[in-house]
Amino acid sequence: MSSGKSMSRLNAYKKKGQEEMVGFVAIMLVVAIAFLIFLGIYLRKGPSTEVENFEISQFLESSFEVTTDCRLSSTRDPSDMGELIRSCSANSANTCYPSGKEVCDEVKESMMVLIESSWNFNETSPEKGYLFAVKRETNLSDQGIVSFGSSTPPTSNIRSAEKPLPGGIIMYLEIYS
Amino acid sequence: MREVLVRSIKAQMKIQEMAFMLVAVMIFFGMVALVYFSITLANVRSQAASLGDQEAQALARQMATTPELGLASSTDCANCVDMEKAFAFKDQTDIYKKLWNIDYLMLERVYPASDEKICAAAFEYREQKCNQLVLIGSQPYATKTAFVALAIWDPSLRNGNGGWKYELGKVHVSPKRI
Repeated sequence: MSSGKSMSRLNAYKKKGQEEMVGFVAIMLVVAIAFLIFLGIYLRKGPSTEVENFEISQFLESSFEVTTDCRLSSTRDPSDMGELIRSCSANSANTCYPSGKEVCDEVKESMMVLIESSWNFNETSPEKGYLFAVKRETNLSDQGIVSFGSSTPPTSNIRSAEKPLPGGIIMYLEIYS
Repeated sequence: MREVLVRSIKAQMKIQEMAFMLVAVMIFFGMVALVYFSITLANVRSQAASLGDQEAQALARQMATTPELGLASSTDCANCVDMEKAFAFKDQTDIYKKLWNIDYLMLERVYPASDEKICAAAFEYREQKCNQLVLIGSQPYATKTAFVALAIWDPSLRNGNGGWKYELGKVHVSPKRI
C-alpha cells in the first residue's frame, strides 16, 4: 500500500517535471518566433540607399575636360565641357559659334552622348537609368541649370557623385542599378 | 526513508530541469550569435569588396598620373593621359610590367566614337579608325577600369600653333596574378 502511494507520487512528480519541460520549450518557441519576426522586419529593404561612387566621380572629372564641337566665339578654339557649363550657368542665352546652338543645349546633348557611351542602359543590363544635373547652390535651395535623364524611374540602388565647380555650381550624376 | 527517497527524487528532478534549461538557453544564445555574426560578416564582406574595387580603380587611375603616360604641362589637365607619349611608349613596356606590377594595360577611347579596333599606329587613332591602345600584355584578366581624359595633339588649334584636344577614355588594368 505504501509502495503504491510512493509510486503514484513518483509518477506525479515525473508528470510535473515533464509539464515544466514542455512549458519551457513552449516559451523558447515563442521567443524564437518573435525573434524571427523582428529579424524579418529589420532585414526588409528600407528606403532607397544612395552611395557615393568612385567610378562616377572619375567620369565627372574626366568628362569635364572633354573638348566639344562648340566655340564660344569666332576667335576661340573649341571649348571643353567645363567652359561650356560655366558659360551656360553665367547666361543661358549664350550660343555656340558658328552653329548658333544654345550653349546649354550643347551641354545637354554632349553630356547625354558621353553618359550613354560610357554605360549601357537597358532593362537587361546592370544599369537601368540615370539622372544628370548641373545646379547652382543658393542660400535657399538648388537652382537647376541643366537637368536630364533616362525615362526609367529611380530604383532602390542608386550610385551617385557630384563635382563642385567655381561659383557654387555643382555637376551631379546618379545611376540606378 | 520514504521521505528521503521522495526528496531525493524531487532534487534530481530539479537538477534535471536546471540542466535542460541551461542547455536550451545556451543553444538559443548560440543561434542568436550565429545570426548576428552572419549578418555582420556579410556587411564586412561587402565593405571589403567595395574597398577592393576602389583600390583597383585607383590603380587604374594612377596609370594616368605616371610620368610615362601623364600629361606634363602644368597648365593642362592633371589627370589626363598623353596619347602622344603612350604611342611612343608602346614598344618599350616590358620593364614597366614589373615596375608597375601589372599584367595588362590598355587605353580605350569612349568618346568620340570610333571603330572598335586595336590601334597599330598613332595615325589610325587620329583618323578614328581604332579606339584601343594595348600597352602591356595581351590577355586581360580581372580587369579594372577607370575613366580618364585622353589628350591628343591637334596641330589645327591655336591658329595653327597646335594644342591639346581632350577625349573621354578608360584605362583598363589587370593586376599581376599571384
